[in-house]
Amino acid sequence: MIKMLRIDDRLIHGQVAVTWSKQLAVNRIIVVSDSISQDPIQVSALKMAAPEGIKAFILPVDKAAKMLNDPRADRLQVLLVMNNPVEVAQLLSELTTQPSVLDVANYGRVAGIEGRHKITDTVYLSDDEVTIFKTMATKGSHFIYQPLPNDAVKSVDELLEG
Amino acid sequence: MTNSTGTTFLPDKKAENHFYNNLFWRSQWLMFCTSYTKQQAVTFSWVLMPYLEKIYGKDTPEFYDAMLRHQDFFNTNVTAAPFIFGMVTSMEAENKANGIDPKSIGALKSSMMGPLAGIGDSLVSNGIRLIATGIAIGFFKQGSWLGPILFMLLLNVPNWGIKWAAGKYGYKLGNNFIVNAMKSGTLNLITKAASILGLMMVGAMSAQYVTFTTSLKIKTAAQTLDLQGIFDSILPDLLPLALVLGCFFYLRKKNKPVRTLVAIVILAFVLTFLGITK
Amino acid sequence: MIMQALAVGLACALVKFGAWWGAMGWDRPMVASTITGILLGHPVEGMTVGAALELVYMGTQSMGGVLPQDYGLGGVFGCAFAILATAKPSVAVALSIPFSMLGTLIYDLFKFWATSLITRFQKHLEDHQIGAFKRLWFTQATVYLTMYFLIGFISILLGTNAIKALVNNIPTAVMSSLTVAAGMLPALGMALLMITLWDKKLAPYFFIGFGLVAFFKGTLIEIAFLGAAIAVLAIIGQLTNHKTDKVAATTEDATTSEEEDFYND
Repeated sequence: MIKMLRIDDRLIHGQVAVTWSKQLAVNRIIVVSDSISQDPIQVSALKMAAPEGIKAFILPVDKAAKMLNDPRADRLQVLLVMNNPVEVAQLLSELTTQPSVLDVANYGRVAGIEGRHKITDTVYLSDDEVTIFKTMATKGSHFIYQPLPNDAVKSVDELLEG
Repeated sequence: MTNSTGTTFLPDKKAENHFYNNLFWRSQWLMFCTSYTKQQAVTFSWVLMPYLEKIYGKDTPEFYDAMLRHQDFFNTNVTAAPFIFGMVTSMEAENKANGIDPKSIGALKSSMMGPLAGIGDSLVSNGIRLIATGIAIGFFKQGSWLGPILFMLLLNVPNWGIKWAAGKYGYKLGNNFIVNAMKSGTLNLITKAASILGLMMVGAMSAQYVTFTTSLKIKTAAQTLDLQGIFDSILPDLLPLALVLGCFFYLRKKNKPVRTLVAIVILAFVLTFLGITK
Repeated sequence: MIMQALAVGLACALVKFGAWWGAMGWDRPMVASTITGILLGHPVEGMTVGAALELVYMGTQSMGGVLPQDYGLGGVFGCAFAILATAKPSVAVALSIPFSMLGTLIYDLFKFWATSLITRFQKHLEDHQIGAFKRLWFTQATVYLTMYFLIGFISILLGTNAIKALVNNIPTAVMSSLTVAAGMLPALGMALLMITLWDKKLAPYFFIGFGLVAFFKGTLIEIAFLGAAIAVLAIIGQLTNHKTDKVAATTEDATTSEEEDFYND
C-alpha cells in the first residue's frame, strides 16, 4: 500500500529520509519524475540518500504507475516523493489504489517564488498549480499540509479557499 | 571533470591549500541569515563571494551574474555542505575557462542538497552527536571538565574533519564523482553502523539515566512485600525500560513530544501523591 | 544583578553563535548550561545541571532548518535559575521548558525579518553594489547575536526575583513530585531518539545496550567501545555481500532486475 504521497522540492532529505520513513514504517521510497529518472547523477545521489533498510527507486510516471498497480506491490509499504504537481495529477489518475495520505510539504521555492502565491511558509503555488490542486480535489484527491509528523495537519483545500 | 582551469584559478599547490582552508572557515557561517523563502541561499553566495571574485574578476558583470545565480533556494546539512561548495567552485572555474551551461550548476546544487542533508543529518546529528553525548554525559554529571572537553572533541573532530575533506574532494572531483563513488553504497553502511552504535547507546542510557522506582510496600499479616525488590530480582531497571518503551509506542502513535512530556509530569505527580513513588 | 544579567546575555549570544557557526553543538543543553555556569562563576554546577537538562532534550534536534524546541535557550535559563535562584536540578528542568518554547517563537520572528531582507540582498547584487551586500550580511549576523544577548540580559534582570520567590515557595509534595518527574523525563528523550533510529532489524542492539548496563553495570565508555566493535562486525558481512551483489547485478538485464528488486526483499 502507498502510505503517503509527498510533494517535496528537495525530494529525499532529512525530513523524509530520517523522520517520515520511520514514522510511516515504509520499506520503499519512490521518487516519481520523468526528468529526474533520466539523469544518472541525480538518480545515484537520491538512491544514496535513502536510509539503510529502505529501497529507493527513481521512476518515470508511467513505469511507477505500472509497478504500483501490480498486485505484488500491495504488501509493500511505499512512500512516494514527487516535485511536480502536473505529474502528481497524472500519476493519481493512473493508480488503481490511491495513496492513504496526500501531503504537500515543500513546493515552489526551488523554482522561484516570483509569480507564485504563498499558501504556507513552505508552499508557493502559481495560478495554474492552484487549478491543478482544485481539480484533483474535485476528483477526491484531498491534500494535507504537514511537513513533519509532529506538525499540525492542515487541509490544503481550506488553505486554498482562505 | 579534471580541472583544466586549475592553472588559472588555483595555479599551484599553495593556492590550492589556501583555498581549501579558506573555504573551510567561510563555510562555517552557512546557517546565518536563514530565511523562510530561500533558507541558506544568501549565505551560500556570501561564502562563494571571494572565489567568484577571483574567477570572474572584482566588480565585473560576470561576477554579479554568478552571485545572482546563487540566490536560488538552498538548504543542506552544514557538515556536508562544503562538498557542494567545492563542486560549484570547480564548475564556476570551468565555466570561466570553457563556458559550460550555467544552468547545470544550479541543477547540480538542487539535486545534491537533499541527499547530502539526509546523510549529514543522520550521520552527524543521530550518529556522532549521540555517541559523543553518551560518552561525555557521565563526566558532566560528575561535574568533571573531561565532560565538555570530550564532547567538543568527539563531536567536532569528525564534524570538522568531514567538512575540510568534503570541500577538497568536492572541488577535486567536480561533478563526476557521484556516478563513480556513490553507487558503491559504502556510505549507507557507515550510516547503518552509526545507527547500531546509536541504538546501543540509547539502550545503555535508558538503563543508566532514567530513574523510576516504586517505594510501595505491601503489608500482609506474615510479611512486608517490597515491590521494588521483586522487580530488581526479575530484571534490574525493569520500570525505566517499561517507561522508555511506553513513551516510544505513545510517540509512534503520532502523539506530540510536548503532550508526552506533560503526560509524564502528570503521571509523576499522581504516583507521588498516591505514595507509589517518592 | 546587572553583572549576572550581562553574563547570561553573553551566554545566550555565545550559545547561539556556536550552534550555527561550524555546527559546533554549543546549543546542546549540557554545553549551553556549562557555558552559562562558567560565566556565572559556577562551572561545576553548570555541568551537573547541564547533564540533567541534556537527558530531557537529548532526542530533540534541529532538522531541515526546523527547530522543534529551543533546547539551547532552555539550557541557558535552566542553568541560570539553578544558580541564581538556587533551584534544584529537577526544578531547573521544569523552568527550562517554557523558555525552550519561547525560544522557537523568537527564532521564528528573526527568520521572518531575515526573509524580508532577501529582496534587498537581491537588489544590491542587481545594482552591482557588493559593498552594500556585505554590509547587510554583517548587519543580520550582528542583529541575530545581539537579539539573543538582550533576551538573556532582560529576562534575568526582570525575572530572577519572581522565579526566586516561586522556587522558595514550592510545597514539599510538589517538590518531590518534580524530582520524580525529573527522573522519569529522560525516558522521553530516549524514546524520541529511538523514533529516529528505530529499525525492526536493529532492535536487538537497543536491548544489548540496555542489558550491558542493567545486568553488568557497564559504563557508557565501555559500551561505546564494545558497540563500535559490534557495529563493525555487523556491517562487515554486508560489505562483502554488497560486492558479490554488484557482480551479480551487472550480469542481469538492468531493467528487469530493477523491477524484480522492487518486489523482493
